[in-house]
Amino acid sequence: MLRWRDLHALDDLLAASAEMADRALSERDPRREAATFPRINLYECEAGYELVAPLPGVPASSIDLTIERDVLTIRGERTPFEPEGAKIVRRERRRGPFARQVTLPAPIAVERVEAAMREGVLRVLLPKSPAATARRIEIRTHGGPS
Amino acid sequence: MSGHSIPVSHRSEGEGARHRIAPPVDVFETAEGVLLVADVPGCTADTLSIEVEDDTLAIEGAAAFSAPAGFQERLGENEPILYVRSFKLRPDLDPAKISASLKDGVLAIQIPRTHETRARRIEIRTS
Repeated sequence: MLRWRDLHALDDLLAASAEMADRALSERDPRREAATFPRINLYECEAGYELVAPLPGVPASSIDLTIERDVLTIRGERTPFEPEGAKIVRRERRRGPFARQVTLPAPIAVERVEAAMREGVLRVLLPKSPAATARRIEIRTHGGPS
Repeated sequence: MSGHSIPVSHRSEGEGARHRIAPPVDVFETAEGVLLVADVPGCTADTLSIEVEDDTLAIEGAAAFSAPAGFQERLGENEPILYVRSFKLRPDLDPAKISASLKDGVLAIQIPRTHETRARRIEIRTS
């Protein structure tokens, strides 16, 4: 028998079982996760990096993305949609400003950085600066021709 | 079987090594019924399923934040995820009339109240 808390329009059927199992499995309940946002994946190839960051519900227009040499900064604000005149029953999605700074392993060609947003996931393509890509070093030898 | 799927399509990705997590949800009571909003970044209509069976609404969605071809991982704070969450529907809600939309990694599910329980303005007759 499920008992309803008056204010809750819906209640988690599996709150006592499945979700606790989720927590035990992953230690990652986003409802309790505050500090690190957005979480970042960074991928590298010879030519550059790709940074991937989930930013659900944050429109591209409200994300401030800056790059300076090898430091990428992501700033923005989460302002969850709230229907007018509706009663809030439950509010778990986080709100408010966020900022994260990533130091990349190599300098970036800042003028060629590209960013795109899809399904609430930001992807930033960061080509390495030509100066930072591998270069063959000539070894000078002293003395005259042998 | 009384369960039915609403048209957000079916899940097609494998779910082998995915982390099961409960997506954060906002719930609103509106004039029409209940609005449920969940963060499911990385999900597409093809990797997300919403199912209603009896009085249970179940959301399941797969997302991977994978490397482009030829790239190696240097930092991986986001594992492949399976968003999983279930809700018990109140008896005054109409499971047959649920609708859902997905935008910017946010899933919105509208669950209307049954006609009998919807607020209604009562005309006061004057003689």
